[in-house]
Amino acid sequence: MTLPGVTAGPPASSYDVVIVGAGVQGLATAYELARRGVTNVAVVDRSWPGGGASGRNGEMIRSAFSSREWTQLFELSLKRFAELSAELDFNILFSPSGYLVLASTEEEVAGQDAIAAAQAAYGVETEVLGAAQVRKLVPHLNPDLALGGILQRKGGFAHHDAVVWGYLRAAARAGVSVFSGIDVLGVTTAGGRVTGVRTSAGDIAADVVVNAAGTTSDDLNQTVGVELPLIKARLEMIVTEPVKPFLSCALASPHMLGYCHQTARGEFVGGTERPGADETDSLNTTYHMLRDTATKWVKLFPSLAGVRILRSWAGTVSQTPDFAPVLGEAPGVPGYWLSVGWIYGFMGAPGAAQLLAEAITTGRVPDTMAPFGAQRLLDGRLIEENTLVVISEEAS
Amino acid sequence: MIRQPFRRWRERTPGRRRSAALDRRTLVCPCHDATLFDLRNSWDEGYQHPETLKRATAVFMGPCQGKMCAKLVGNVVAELQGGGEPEQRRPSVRPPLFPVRMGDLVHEDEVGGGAA
Ligand SMILES: Cc1cc2nc3c(=O)[nH]c(=O)nc-3n(C[C@H](O)[C@H](O)[C@H](O)COP(=O)(O)OP(=O)(O)OC[C@H]3O[C@@H](n4cnc5c(N)ncnc54)[C@H](O)[C@@H]3O)c2cc1C
Ligand code: FES
Repeated sequence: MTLPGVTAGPPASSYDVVIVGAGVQGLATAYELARRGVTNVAVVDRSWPGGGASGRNGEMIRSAFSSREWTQLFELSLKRFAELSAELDFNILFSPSGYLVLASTEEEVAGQDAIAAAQAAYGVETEVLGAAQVRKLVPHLNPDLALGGILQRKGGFAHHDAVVWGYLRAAARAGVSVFSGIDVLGVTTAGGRVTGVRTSAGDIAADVVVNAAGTTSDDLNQTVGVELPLIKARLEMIVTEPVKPFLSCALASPHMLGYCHQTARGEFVGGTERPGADETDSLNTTYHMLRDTATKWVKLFPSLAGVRILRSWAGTVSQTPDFAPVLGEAPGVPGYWLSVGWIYGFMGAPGAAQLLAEAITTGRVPDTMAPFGAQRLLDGRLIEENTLVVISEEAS
Repeated sequence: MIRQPFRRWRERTPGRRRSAALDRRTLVCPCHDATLFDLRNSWDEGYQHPETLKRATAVFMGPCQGKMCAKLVGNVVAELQGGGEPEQRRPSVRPPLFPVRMGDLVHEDEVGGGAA
């Protein structure tokens, strides 16, 4: 066994649903299926549950985006985060201490009102902060870069491992089987319909297969001829020695392409990005990203100059051209469902899993989920979202 | 040969299960105050892999990044697995090798993105 809730012994020869990938997406989906009475479910992972991006991310949570599509999906998630500890009977350490998107340029400040108005229209409460308010909220910020911000008080962060473990235990209690150390080699079909998966532990039959395989989800798609524009993107993060509390909220800086928060233990956890995706998939960190990160965070928080980095790590995500996830049944392969292309897949998991489970069990696609279907990418109808902390190569 | 810190103690008390009270006082990871009791408890719950045990107990993740506790944890894991060779697998050692002040890594030319 690798974690509490993981099934000992080999998988059965058939299930109603097989989910590939025991990351937060796969496990949350399994849990939501079980809640709807579908418990003959297997979640299969080649590694240990949470060993992918779900155990390597920045843990940040918000629903304050600028587009209707993102806002509504992530608002559903945020509401779920607030309930999860009680519902899963496991403390996911959700800390709704606020999520600040910092404005560091006049241009960013000028855009704030329109973004906040859109958020209000979509039912998400945010506050537009001026320079004085931002500096009061986060006094350690370099005043030259603290010109404004949009604060979502209900946002924050949760412990990524705890969220994975909570879903895993609750799904297992409800009767779901979760296997670690089993590689899914391909999806099988007959007459165009899904019949199951081929694995390193033999074939498993299932009428429904969910691809929640994270970075390698595209490889699985290839085995059934599903061609989607998915790329790999590698990200790095650092954690420092514990320091006195100086940062109460989660903070994202589009200007620095960075996001950070301080843990209850006092560690500063932060990641920065560069324009364009790093499509390599090594889990080793690099000296240039260590310097990129240190330079940016010291610029933003001058007092961090004397704080020591203990550890850096890397993770990989799968990414679509509009950075939005793909949720729904794959075009042309009935029974093959996708929850892929997630760059904000930690904060999005509770809501997405609920919608996906609803769609799988009822056959009807909920309105909030519909815009994220794969067909949009094939038709070139991209979702426009302007508050993401990522820029593509072309835009830079 | 790998030193086995609990070997002498084990030889003196063959087959005897130590007490929870003693386990609670046996510090394995001084950085994060993780005791033998914590390790044993997490193992019994099902965190039975060096990577997941690390996440459950915070061993390896303190200021020394496991330099002090790695061998001890390896021995405890070997024992929990039912004896035999000390567990040699440990979670990846993550850079930097020693804690480094952020200020010492600042390098303007290295920055990418809007901030550059
Ligand atoms: C450094 C970093 C920081 C991030 N920060 C944030 C953040 O602050 N907030 C946020 O919301 N998101 C963040 N993200 C993104 C987030 O972590 C991911 O979007 C999310 O974890 C995706 O979850 P998942 O379950 O889809 O994928 P994963 O967690 O990657 O899980 C996929 C699983 O599938 C398994 N698998 C793959 N292929 C196979 C196969 N063929 N057979 C069997 N098993 C297979 C893998 O072993 C893995 O366990 C960050 C990501 C990184 C890397
Ligand atoms: S003693 Fe365990 S991390 Fe330092």
